Amino acid sequence: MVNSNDESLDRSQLVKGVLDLAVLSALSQEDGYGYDVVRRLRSAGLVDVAEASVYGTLRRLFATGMLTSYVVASDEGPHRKYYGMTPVGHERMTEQREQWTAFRNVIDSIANTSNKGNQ
Amino acid sequence: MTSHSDHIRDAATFAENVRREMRAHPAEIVADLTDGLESDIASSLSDGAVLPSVEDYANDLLTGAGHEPLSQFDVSNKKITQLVEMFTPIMDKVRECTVGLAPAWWVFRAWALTQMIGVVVSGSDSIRPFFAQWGEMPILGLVLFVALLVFSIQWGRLQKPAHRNLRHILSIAVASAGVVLLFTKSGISYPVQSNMNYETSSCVVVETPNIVGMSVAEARQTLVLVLPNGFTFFDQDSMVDIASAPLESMVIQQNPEPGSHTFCGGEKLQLVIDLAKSAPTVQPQGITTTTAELPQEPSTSTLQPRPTLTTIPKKAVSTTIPKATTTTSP
Repeated sequence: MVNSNDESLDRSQLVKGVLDLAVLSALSQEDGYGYDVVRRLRSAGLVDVAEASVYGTLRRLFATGMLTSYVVASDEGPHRKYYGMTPVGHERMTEQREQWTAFRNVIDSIANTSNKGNQ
Repeated sequence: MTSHSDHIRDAATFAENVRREMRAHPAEIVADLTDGLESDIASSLSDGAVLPSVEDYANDLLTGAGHEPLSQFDVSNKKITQLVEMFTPIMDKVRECTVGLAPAWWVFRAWALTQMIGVVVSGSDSIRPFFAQWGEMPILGLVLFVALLVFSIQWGRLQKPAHRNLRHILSIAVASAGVVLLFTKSGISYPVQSNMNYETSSCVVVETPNIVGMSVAEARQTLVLVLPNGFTFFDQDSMVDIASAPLESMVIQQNPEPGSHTFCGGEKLQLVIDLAKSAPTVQPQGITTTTAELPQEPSTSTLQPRPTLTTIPKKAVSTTIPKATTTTSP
């Protein structure tokens, strides 16, 4: 879990770089509305992700054809805007997972080498 | 405890503020980014979340969607827009109250424009009715006024949006004409300003000399060169303005005193003399004598120095001194 008090890394920049992948992954199993996606990300560990950043990302992914959107009326209040994955979104998510895995391995390798050198 | 309906109301207010914050961006972008925002914000509030500032929220929305964040220009633009919105209702009220005065306004601006053109064309520095401004050309001024009046009325009637472009073109044309007139004005005004014109200048600063102790004749010679409006004599005993003063009478007081003074309009220097000590100087009518030339009419305003009264040329002419010439000069 990412610690919100960790000041050694600019976490907001790290999150921004992988927010597309995080949002796509959060919607890969089940459709959801904006705040629902925020809940899933926070419960997964991204506790300080900015809500509005997630909503903006959802709009952008929808505009680029990776998400579908539909409105569900609510008896208790205003309508909810739900998002779901498209095939393009699935492909994009797969590509980004591979890129992330490769990137993470590189960073792990560098970090581990440095760690062994120190020991 | 805050109910769900309170959250919905707060969320609606917050979402509206976010939309207002992003007003500098295209409306369709704002609508797309904020569609359904109320429900998400209400859910967030129900979970006990604390919302960030409206500006931060709007910036996160914009950057998350790949748009430019709010710039300082947007913030400044927003403040200006708020100011305009604040005064718009007041201006609307004023416009409602003054709509009935539109014809009067049309006539007034035509008259004012005629005045301006009259001032520029005549080269005068003062504002006077256009009939006076146009001097010997009152008909031309009247024709111009009528033409401008027709133009002003037509201009005022072009209030429909369809005529907006025409109004803009006319505005540019009038502004251009104004610039040309200004250059014309500047071109003809310098020669006028280079000469001191006491008739058009209402006030003039004069270095008043000390003439106390001088005779009336000497005082006149001294003052006629510097005083635009001349001077008046007062009898010391009666302190009333006297029409004539003996030339050899002594000036015993002057008002204002020596120094720099501003004389406006027909204001004159006041000289006090003692008539009781004056010797008779005016000769009876009909006595023939010799003098350099006829004295100038004292009522004539002039800056030219008068001839000294003691100079007798070799070739004298014979004349008759008129009886009791006025001593108010010029």
